[in-house]
Amino acid sequence: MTSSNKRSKKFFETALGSFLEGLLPILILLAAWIIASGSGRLNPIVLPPPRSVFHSFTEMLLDGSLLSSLGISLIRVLKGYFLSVVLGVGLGIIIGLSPHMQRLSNLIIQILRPIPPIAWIPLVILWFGIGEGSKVFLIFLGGFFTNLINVIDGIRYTDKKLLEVASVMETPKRKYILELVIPAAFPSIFTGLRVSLGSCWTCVVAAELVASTSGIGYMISNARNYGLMDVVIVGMLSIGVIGKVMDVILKAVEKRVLSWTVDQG
Amino acid sequence: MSGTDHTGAFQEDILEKNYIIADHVSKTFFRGEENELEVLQEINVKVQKGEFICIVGGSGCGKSTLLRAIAGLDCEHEGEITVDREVVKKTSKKRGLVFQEHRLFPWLSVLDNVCFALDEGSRAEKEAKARQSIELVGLAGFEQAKPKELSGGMAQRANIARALVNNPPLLLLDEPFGALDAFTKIQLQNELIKIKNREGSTMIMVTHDIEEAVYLADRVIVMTNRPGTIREIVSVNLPRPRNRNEYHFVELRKRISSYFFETPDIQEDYNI
Ligand SMILES: Nc1ncnc2c1ncn2[C@@H]1O[C@H](COP(=O)(O)OP(=O)(O)O)[C@@H](O)[C@H]1O
Ligand SMILES: [Mg+2]
Repeated sequence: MTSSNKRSKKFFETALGSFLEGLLPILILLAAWIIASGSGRLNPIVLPPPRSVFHSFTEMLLDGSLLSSLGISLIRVLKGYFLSVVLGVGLGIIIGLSPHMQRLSNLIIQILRPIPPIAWIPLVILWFGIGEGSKVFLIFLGGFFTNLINVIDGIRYTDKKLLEVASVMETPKRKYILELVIPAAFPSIFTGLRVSLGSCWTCVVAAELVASTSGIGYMISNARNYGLMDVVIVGMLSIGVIGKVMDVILKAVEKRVLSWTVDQG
Repeated sequence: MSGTDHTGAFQEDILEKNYIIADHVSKTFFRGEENELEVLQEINVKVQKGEFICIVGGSGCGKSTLLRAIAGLDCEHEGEITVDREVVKKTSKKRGLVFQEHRLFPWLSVLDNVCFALDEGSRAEKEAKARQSIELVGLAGFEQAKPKELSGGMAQRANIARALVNNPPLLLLDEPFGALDAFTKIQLQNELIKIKNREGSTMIMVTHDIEEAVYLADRVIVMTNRPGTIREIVSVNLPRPRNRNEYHFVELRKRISSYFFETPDIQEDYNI
């Protein structure tokens, strides 16, 4: 018993094994969904059967509408994300390095941060109209504060012991910032980059609520108007899967860039 | 005593004798209200240029605090510390400090960590200097290793290499060899003496190893427990290279041990 236990434990610790174990609950949920729909007790308008969701999926995949919607949304997200990274990291470094800037900005950041991007929509439409600009801005808002705060904290909480080393060596300011403070903040900055990409992607539906006629968010709200729940579900799951893929990619980059951190193998 | 008839040389002589002056240095840490910790009390000492000083004392008696004060990392204390005619008010490149923990930058290789200490010259020049220093501490071959790949002793050697590469006229070392095996320790002690002789630098080393103190130091400062005061300053007038088993060496070691252990002989026997 113990030996077989050991073997199964080992298998689930391999990359393939842990992936399969993670897949298990999904398969169980899917099976439950299939059985529930097949029993005829589930109202297909409330929750369409997997079969029709799959049917819509293949149809939209084949006629290219799914990928083009995803592509349009993805480009918006990347634009907004890029802006949130450039401004968030840039401002974060400036604020993180200066106690004055920290005192000046702290309260305003704390107040603006909890406002969800959706609440900005009326103002954003007034400011940017209903074109691309407003959508990109909403996505930008979704990621900006996460980047900003992770950079500020990463710099503020740099290990004082390492800073003392530079102090003893009288390291010139420029080198101190570029070669010590910023690299030391990298783990925190990278966490921000990863989390904010997720938030930006999450914002895409909200952003496309603004008089949009394209994108995955539009696809979902449009299908809802026609009661096409299977299309809604295809849209939701696509957002989920793409989000996961983006995180996997960033994690791989992180692992390479931050190979020096102690907790990584 | 030569040159006393020549005023300039005379003055030079006095300045060299007073290279470091700690004048009534006391230090209290304030940790919240009503919680004061007196760590150093009335430290008065003068160090000559080129001298090798070792500080021994129980743990927590303020040895690191004293080194940090000399380095200029912590200047909030009573009294004054003067190094080379200047009152210490901030850190300086001229006062190198080997921290008790290795404090390497984890994202840089050993080579880059050592290079970081150098601000002048081309990259190639810096690397050449850094490699020399790395070789000196016996880390050749590990230039590209990251700190997390090093053992404690190797990391500590990289730390020492980083402090040596600048050749500071005053080198402060905080229990630098504590994490090393006996063999490497002896080897590095000899390297340190060689560097001191070659560069004419002044060294102050904190250690908990009394034998090490007697082997290295011109004078050993023995500190009392908290609050740390100077109990005695023991001159080690033994010729170099010193023989650790020679009678006078052992006698001195026993004498210093007797400050810490009530029955030094028994302690000695167990140590050996
Ligand atoms: N920054 C600090 N704040 C408060 N107490 C401190 C601080 N640094 C050191 N101490 C205390 O001062 C005492 C002496 O510390 P230290 O100089 O590191 O001793 P050691 O002789 O072992 O090197 C210890 O009791 C330590 O807890
Ligand atoms: Mg100490």
